[in-house]
Amino acid sequence: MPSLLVIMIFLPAIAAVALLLLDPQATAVRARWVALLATVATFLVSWGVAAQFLALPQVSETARGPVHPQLVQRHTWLDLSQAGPHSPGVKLEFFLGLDGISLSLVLLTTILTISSVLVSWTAIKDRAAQFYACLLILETGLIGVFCSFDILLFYVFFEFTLIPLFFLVGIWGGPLRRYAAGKFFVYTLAGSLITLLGLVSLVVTTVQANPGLTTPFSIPDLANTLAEHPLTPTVQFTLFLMIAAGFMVKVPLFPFHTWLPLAHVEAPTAGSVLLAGVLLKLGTYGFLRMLLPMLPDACLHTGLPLIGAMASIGIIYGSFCALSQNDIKKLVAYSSVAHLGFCMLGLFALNIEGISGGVLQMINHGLSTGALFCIVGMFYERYHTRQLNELGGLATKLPLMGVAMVFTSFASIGLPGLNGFVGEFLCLAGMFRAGDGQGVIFSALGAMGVVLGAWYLLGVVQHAFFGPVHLPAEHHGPGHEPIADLNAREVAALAPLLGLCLILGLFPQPLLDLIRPDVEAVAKLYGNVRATNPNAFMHASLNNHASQKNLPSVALGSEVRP
Amino acid sequence: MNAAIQQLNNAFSLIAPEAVLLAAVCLIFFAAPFLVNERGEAPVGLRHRWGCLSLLALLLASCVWWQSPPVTRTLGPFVLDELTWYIRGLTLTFGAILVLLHWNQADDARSAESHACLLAILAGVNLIAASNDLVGLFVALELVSIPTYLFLLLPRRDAPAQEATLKYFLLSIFSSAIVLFGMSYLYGATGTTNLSGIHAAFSAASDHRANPLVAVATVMLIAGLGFRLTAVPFHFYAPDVFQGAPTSAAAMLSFVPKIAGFVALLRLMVPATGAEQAMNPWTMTPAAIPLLWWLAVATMFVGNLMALMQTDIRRLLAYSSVSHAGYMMVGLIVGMAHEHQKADVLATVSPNSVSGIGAMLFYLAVYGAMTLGTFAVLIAAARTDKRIESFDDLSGLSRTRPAMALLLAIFLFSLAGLPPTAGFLGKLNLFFAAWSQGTVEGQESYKWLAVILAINAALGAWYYLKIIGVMFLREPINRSQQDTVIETPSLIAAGLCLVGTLGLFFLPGWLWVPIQSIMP
Amino acid sequence: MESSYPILLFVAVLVGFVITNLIIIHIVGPRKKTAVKQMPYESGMDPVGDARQPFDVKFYLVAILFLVFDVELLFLYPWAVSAYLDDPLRANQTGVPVELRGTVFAVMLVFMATLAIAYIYAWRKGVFRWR
Repeated sequence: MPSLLVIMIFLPAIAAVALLLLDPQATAVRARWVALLATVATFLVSWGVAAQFLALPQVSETARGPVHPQLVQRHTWLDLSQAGPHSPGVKLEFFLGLDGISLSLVLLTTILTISSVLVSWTAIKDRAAQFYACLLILETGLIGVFCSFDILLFYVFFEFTLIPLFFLVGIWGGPLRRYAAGKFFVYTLAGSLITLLGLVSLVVTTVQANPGLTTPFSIPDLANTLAEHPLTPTVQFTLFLMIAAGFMVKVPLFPFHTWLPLAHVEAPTAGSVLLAGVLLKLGTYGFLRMLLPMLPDACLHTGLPLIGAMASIGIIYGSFCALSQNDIKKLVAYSSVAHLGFCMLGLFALNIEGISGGVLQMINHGLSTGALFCIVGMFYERYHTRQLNELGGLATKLPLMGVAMVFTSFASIGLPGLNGFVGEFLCLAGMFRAGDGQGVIFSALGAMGVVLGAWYLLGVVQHAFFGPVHLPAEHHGPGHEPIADLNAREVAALAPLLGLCLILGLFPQPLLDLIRPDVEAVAKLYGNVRATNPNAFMHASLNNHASQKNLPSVALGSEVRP
Repeated sequence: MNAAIQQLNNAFSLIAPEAVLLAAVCLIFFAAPFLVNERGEAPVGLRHRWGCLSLLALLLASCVWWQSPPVTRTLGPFVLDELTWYIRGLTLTFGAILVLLHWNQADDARSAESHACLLAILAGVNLIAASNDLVGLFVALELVSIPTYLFLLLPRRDAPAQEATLKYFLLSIFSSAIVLFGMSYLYGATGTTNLSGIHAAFSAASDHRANPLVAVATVMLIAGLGFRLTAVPFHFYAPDVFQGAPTSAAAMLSFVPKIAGFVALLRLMVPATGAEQAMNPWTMTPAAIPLLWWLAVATMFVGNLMALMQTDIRRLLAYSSVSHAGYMMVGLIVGMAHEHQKADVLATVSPNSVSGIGAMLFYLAVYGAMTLGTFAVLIAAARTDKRIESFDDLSGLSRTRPAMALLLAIFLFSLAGLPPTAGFLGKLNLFFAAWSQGTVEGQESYKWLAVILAINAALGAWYYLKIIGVMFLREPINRSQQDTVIETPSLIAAGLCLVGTLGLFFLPGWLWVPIQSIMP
Repeated sequence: MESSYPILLFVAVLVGFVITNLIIIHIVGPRKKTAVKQMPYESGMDPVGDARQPFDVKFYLVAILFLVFDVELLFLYPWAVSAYLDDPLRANQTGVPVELRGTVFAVMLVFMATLAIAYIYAWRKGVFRWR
């Protein structure tokens, strides 16, 4: 009986294959019910896995390395060693596991997939079975990325998500869908191939320096080895640039973001929700898993200035681009660039506040931007236009949608009381304290970005939903129902997302407690770096607890866990 | 004397599988004319019998192959080591798939000769792997070439096929002549045609490597064998030949000569493989490696860049096969450098690195599955009157024949190197091998080779994606259900290739472990 | 290498002689073109007909078959003459060793059988039919 974790990962894929094989000509009605059933089942299984995870005993700080997955499933995949009984094996493994950060992202994925199925309920009629099959396969790929702790398995799932998304955007998308799908695919693939080279190089270099390491592809083992015997700064620098290349395209960081507005606008609503909600987090998750624990020297000396600069420029640039947009979906797409800039600022603050804020921002952005795309999809289905100059005063006709839009916009802006505030505050606070004062400029720019965010989002709300009523011509005739407010299904799609926005805004501590052990383990590496001479990092080791006293304490809520 | 007599007597048993195949060829050629009357007509359905006979012959040869494990290398004309064993398995498996592809391609009257030619080509490739003598190697190379000319022409004898055959024929004999010339120089330098003897001469006197005769021989051999590999600049025949030839012949050409070329290069340039041998590694000259380095880079770039510009599917597949030859050459070069380095600098090589030659042999198997699968789907999805030639013929295939479109998409994703297909693992092994070799002092050029491989993989993804986009994202043009016919043999072949492509991703060990025993 | 210098010299002289002669002819020779001198040579008589006529493939096929079986004979002659020599007084004229004679005979039979199959194939395909 495979474990719940394996079931959670592969259940959507099995449902997709069943949908394609058993009923290839399924009507849209049947296909969407099957898809809904599958996604709700996955969601429930993920809660089962969460319960299993939370029931596990705590791992003490000294017993774990920078990366410590639990609920582990490990099977050898390919033994790459040279012939002969005397040479040790270098193994690729199916290494699945879960830690706090992974769990929170998996739960985000499962709930966003349910919303995306509900949002496509009436929008997709042509080849519906294949659409839902693609969606389910995408979900498998996304959950698989977050649960894999073998570098190659991570990369396999990472690349695998490109395939269903290519079909989703290319077949069911907008007018420029073929161009958008192709550009997205090749751009991301090119970056990922450089990342693959970087990862291979990292493994080869580590193995050559530590011949006793037989499973260098496993992320925990690699992180432990590199924590004890870090690589030289010059090697780390090259590796950082290579590995970061693919993730920079995925996040996306300015100036590698050009695929994002195109892909988001041309994707169908469900595609946009998953693209913005989860797929972009693959990039930030990649930074968190691959770069922060393994290449601390490079992250501190190269990553902080470089990524910090790119992220803060991205925030300002993305916000200004959003300001000038007429297409609401494109505006939200650019806002994603800006929000993920915050997330990257938080991650590369390299302290507990920053990294917690980064992870939190990943979840928050997924929820709020996912909800925003749902709402955009909903009024596009009604009015078949997304242009700001054609819409006005929608809230008079669609009050419920207006409420949802206002709520989501405030969550996205970062109003205190909603989740966006907690994430952005932690990111900026962390960046403020980062490095040796380098972070102050970046956090200042980020704070400006908050104001700009309010500007463009409230502009949309004011112009499209309030203000003088200016509705586009309604479509009459058979096939078009009269324009109505949100029906029960659409409320069901939005309610969990908005509810979580509120809850996470008022009670963020449970989530922070969930991710705390892993964030602390990573931040510990940087505590050591800052405590000693930054240029003599090679002499620091994990066992030097004396430097722990220099860490700033987390000034949030409950007492520090022993 | 007694040892020599015993070797001669045993020589026959070393090539028993090839003997079975060639006996089948003789049988088919003997029986064929009796079943076709004077006007050239044959009973309907005759081709099924020849197909079954070919499969039976391959099955028999496989049984013989399975029963004959590798033996110690002797001074005889043939050798049966792990490499021979592996290549025979590869050829017989993919030979069966080629027979299935070719089943309905030739009409009843000519099916016998073309099946016999296919079996002869497979026997030739096996003989290349089994040869221990320059003359035997050349005879085996010709046994691959000459039936290929017939195989290209027999199914359809229209003008494009004639043009393709003529181009291939002329270039093939030219390159065979160059190979023979190079072999003669090698004989002149060492005084023997036996590969074991040549190797002994090289390891005895290390100044042989600087001998100008050997340098000329190296260049000639690489040039002649490069034709077979479709290495740049010997690849110019490929697009025209693939376009004019029947689809099963194009399928054969995209894969079988590559095995022939790579195995011949391995036999000539890399030392005796096999676990029992403790040979001194050598390469023919130090000049071979830089020459092959530049050839590999050029092959990869030309293959991918030219494929980007094609509008005809068959020409695109020809250029894609050129680029894949480039990828495999990377593995070969890295392996040669590894062996060369072991001779000069002992024991500083990391024991955990992936062997380049192992990566190349693995990629050969994976490439066979993906490329033959692609051609299988092209045959199976063709209409009764028209083959699949341009992008328009494939457009909207996902609506008219969704299973075919999905199969072709999987094979194309594998060619591009995307997980979860075996093509990804193949490229990964090549990356790993190239990068590991590049970390050795003074050999950073192999890191550049890995980077160029990555760039070309990204370039390649673009045109494979274009085909997938045409199938899934466009609407069908002029297709109706009545035009299609169910081609069972090609479907079976496509299914087998699918099993290979996906199976080698999830369970690569069962192929990887035998490959590891090939390297010393 | 040193023993091949005379051959190189020989080749050089040969090629040089040919080239020199051609050059001298081109420089020194007269250039008076008449109609009769420009006609193609056909053993003294006036040429009749077009030189570029297609000829029947049966001539080509007969020539190829002749070539194949002539080469078969070429391989048979040395074996037939020398395989069974058995003169102990003349040490440099021994045939195939006794242990191998059976194998060699079988090999030659296989060789001839293969060519016989080719012959039967050609026969049944109508190569010998003189239409």
